[in-house]
Amino acid sequence: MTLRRLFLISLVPCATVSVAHGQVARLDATADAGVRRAVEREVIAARSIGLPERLLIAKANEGIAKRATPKRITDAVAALGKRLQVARDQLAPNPSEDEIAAGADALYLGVPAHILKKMRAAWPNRSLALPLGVLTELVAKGLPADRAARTVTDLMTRGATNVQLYSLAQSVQGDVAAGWAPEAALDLRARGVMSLLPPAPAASAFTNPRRP
Amino acid sequence: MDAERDDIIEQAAAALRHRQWRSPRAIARILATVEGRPRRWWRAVTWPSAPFSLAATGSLAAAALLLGFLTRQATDRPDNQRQLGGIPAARTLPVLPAVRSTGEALPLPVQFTLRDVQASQVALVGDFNGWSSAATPLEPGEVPGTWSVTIPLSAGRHVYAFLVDGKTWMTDPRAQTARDLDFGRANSVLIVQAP
Amino acid sequence: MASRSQRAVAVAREESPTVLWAIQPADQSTVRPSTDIDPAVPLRARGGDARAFAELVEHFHARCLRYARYMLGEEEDAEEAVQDTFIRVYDHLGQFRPDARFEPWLFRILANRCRTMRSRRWARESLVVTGELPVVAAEAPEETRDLMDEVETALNGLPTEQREAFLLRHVEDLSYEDMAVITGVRLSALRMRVKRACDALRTRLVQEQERGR
Repeated sequence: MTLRRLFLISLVPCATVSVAHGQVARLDATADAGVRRAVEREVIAARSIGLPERLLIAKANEGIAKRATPKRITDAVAALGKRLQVARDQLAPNPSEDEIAAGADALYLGVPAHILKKMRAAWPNRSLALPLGVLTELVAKGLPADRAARTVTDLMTRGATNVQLYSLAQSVQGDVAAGWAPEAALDLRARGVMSLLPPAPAASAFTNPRRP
Repeated sequence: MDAERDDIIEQAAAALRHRQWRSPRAIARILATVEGRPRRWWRAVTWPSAPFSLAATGSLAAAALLLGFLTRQATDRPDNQRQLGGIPAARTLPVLPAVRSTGEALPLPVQFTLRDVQASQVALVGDFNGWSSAATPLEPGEVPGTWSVTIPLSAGRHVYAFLVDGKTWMTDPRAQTARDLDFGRANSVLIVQAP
Repeated sequence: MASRSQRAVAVAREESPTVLWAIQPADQSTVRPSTDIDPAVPLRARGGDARAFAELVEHFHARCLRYARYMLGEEEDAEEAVQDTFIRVYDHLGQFRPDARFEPWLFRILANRCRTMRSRRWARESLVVTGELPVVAAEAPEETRDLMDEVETALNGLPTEQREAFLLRHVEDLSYEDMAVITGVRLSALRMRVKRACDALRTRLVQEQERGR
């Protein structure tokens, strides 16, 4: 039997793509076909606007590892795609991938988008990955997002270092685990860090009016 | 000549044969790898898992130059009830010694450990390895039932878990847990310090 | 007796005068130039000649990469398998018998690496490395892409041992005796695998062609 069509076989050798040997995202092979298609759509969209697509694939892999339903996975990936875009926009200009990921985490737990912008304004030239992580963890511990955001950005504006923000988070974690109410723990520990910082140059927009 | 090699098979084979993947960089990498390599040298240290062997990032080399690392000490795996029930109120958190890195952008090496005498394999899964169960296996320690791995992590908040024997999802008994709003299964949380 | 190419053209003209063969199979009935290397080169490499080892790598790398790519489906996996292979070749050249041929010895190591990699990491979809997203594939001319895609898809649909046998026999042009050395499988079983692979590919490709009308 013959093949009744015109064959055009390219005789040009295909040069291999030099693989960039950094982190390569791979979707788990057990992914449902619907999940795969949904992830592909999100990856195409992310790629077209320069968002870190590996985070979307990682989210899908997390869902697969946790045996989530395909619908839950596709919903989670789509929602993450939106959060990444918001985070990137609020943390402009040129946020790093770590910052975008951290910003998306913060949004995930209910931190208002405009807080990310304020944090960028407080630290225009330093990575926000750790402060965002601290903020996210405080909110995860039960603090109202506005309250936690206000405290963290206030400390950042007053000159707190990453080490101090890190120790704030660790201390609040410990206090909550020991039975303290989250707000009480945050108030106590923030005062401790504040006492080490130079006084505010002028009335801060974020100063809690109830503080003595 | 094979009887089955008719024109269709010949065309298909020719199409497959005509495709050539040339990679001068890969060739150079092979030659660089074997340069000065003694033959029949049995290396006591096994290569790291595949993603690291090809992803030789500069950050790994930089991490090796750092003064110390954050260590999470191994402890007995608590029984399931205690683990699933959260951290008892009387429990104190470990004090993690802080380490200054030489540059804000450099990741810090972080050691993850678990003690589980029943496990035959343990993998670390998290946001830093795409939740891949094959990317970061823990290695057994000299003391039976102890497992550990050290990997570089960027500053900030990370979520992770252990996957035991390929199927049991386990949070780190010495770490904080985080609710999972997407999939309903808690993760462990770690904040990696930065200067 | 008419050559294969003449028969092919004659049949084509008989069944459909409009069929054209863009690739002339005329030369395919003759023996293709050997792809094996001068036997002196691996022997010099075995003796510690670094240039000879480099020559081995340069000579065989593209073929090894092609084989690994078709077996593993992804460029990065294939590159890693090939890299591992050549490092093992380097480490074990002392075990290479001077009276043996290098090509089957090399492919044996490569085939083993590919099998190990497949069993260790089950096939993964990579949205980033292989460029299978439509925005990349759309760059290829329609006809070319269809044929290459069809053949590759048909190949990927074969069971692993049939795919391995088909590639070694019909793409790498190795003898059944060499294939037995490479795979450790007896000749009769290898012939059966190749036959089944060809039958399956033929059926699949004809079906695709029928569908495309």
